[in-house]
Amino acid sequence: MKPVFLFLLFVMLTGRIEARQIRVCASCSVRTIDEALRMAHPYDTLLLNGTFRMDSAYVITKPLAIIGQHAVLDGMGKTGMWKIQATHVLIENIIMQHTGISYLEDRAAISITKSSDVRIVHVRVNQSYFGIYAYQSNHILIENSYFDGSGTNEFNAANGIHLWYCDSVQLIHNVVLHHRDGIYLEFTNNSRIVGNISRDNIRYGMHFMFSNHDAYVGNTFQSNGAGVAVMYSHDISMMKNTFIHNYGTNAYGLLLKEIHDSEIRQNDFNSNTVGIFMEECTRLNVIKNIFQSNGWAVRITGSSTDNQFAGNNFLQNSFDVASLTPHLHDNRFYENYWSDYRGYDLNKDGIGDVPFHPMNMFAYVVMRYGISIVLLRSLLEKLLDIAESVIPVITPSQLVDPKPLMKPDQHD
Amino acid sequence: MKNCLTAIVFIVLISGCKSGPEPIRYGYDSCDFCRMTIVDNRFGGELITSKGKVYKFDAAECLDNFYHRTHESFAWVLFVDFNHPGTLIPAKQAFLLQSDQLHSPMGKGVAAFQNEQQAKEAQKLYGGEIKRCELP
Repeated sequence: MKPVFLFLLFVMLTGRIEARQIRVCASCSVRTIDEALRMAHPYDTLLLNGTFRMDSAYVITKPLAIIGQHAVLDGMGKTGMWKIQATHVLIENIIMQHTGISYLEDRAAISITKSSDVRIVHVRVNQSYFGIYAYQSNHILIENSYFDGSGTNEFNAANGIHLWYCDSVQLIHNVVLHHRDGIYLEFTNNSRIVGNISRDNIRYGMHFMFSNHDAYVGNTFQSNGAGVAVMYSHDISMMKNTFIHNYGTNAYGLLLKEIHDSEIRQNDFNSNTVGIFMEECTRLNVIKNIFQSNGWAVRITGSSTDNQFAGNNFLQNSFDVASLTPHLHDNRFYENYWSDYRGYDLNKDGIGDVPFHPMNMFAYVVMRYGISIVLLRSLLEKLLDIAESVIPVITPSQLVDPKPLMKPDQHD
Repeated sequence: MKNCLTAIVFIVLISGCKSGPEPIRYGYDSCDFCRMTIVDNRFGGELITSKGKVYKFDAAECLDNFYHRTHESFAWVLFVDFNHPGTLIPAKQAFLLQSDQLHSPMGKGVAAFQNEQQAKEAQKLYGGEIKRCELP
């Protein structure tokens, strides 16, 4: 019995010893990363030190941990850095820069192809085309990393974190800026996006296409072409995010197109051209959000059905709600706070005694004839609104909050 | 003098009504079907109604969906030429290549080419199959 046990212990120990560390630096015995990758066994650790100028990307085909100790990889405008084609790969604490632009290959600082269990932690990517490009991969973690694309127009920029046909991806506490789309998910399911900051991107801060069962919580989307676009997806949970300063003619805080069965809770929409734009959406719960100082807080098209808005605070928006269709297909508003509400509360139950009609006549005019926005805050706007409130003919009569709150709903 | 003025006003009005294709302003225009900002200049297309209204699209499938959902009549159906990004070619002449290897904005992977030879060359690179456009 005892010799067998000892033998097993020996095997285990050698197994441990085999996962060795390989140092790579200018004065080390191993000087190039290529050489280290060739001699490495699975589950070895590569420790990189110094600046490495590159002509082509390093291909990882076995499980490895690659950890930088003051390491800089420079693509010299010619190449991306890593091509991961293996399971159990860790890349940590490395600065990567200057991938250059390529329209032929999807050049990325880190590209991940048909891999699983990949962790990218604490990396910093400057002046990249794609930051990370993951394709048909699952169980990817990207954490505490920084991606600066330095893109100035839509032609020379690609996406910061690009996920295509992926599953179970976690993006946690990253910063993404100056890309085309900060974070892009296409056919990517069961993923969590938590606490990231996406700002100054050319098109969208984050963009979902055909992706289901995903959640994004506590992120900030600031000064992008548009904050977040969620399209052709269902079961998306959007909680506690901040959408701020997404300005422009086609700019939205949150653009929803053909979305079903999703939750939008406790988000903060501040100073956007349009807070939420909804087209062909069904069964959405928009609950306890703050809409402050937007041009339009909410725009719904007639093709949206069965959505509910409750417990939201609408504060000082130019227009609160707008829709061009006379019927609202069971989109319900109740117990929201509206800063424009001029009703009273005689029985002191906190709920206004008069229903509130959040859409005014002038909002309709501006939607039909965009240029009439120059008359905003003019006498004509006031006259139109008074006329419409006395004899409502154009604004949808079903668009009404029967129980408006007297005080803003208190929530964090 | 009066006649001359009328003529000038008339000419100005006529020239203002000129209908025809309009270049897509990438990064500014949004797709009239899916609302996305159009940024990829290798894909997409344009529809122009007989009254001259221009609709712009980021992908061939958006154009197709829009075409079949509206009841307007179109004077022009145009696709973006894959080999000459940003330029438009009539849909009638175009050869379409559908391949999963083409990463187009809406995921269908449809690119348009001026002639069959260019489509076949692209097919060697990306695979997929070549079709003709069924729109008028």
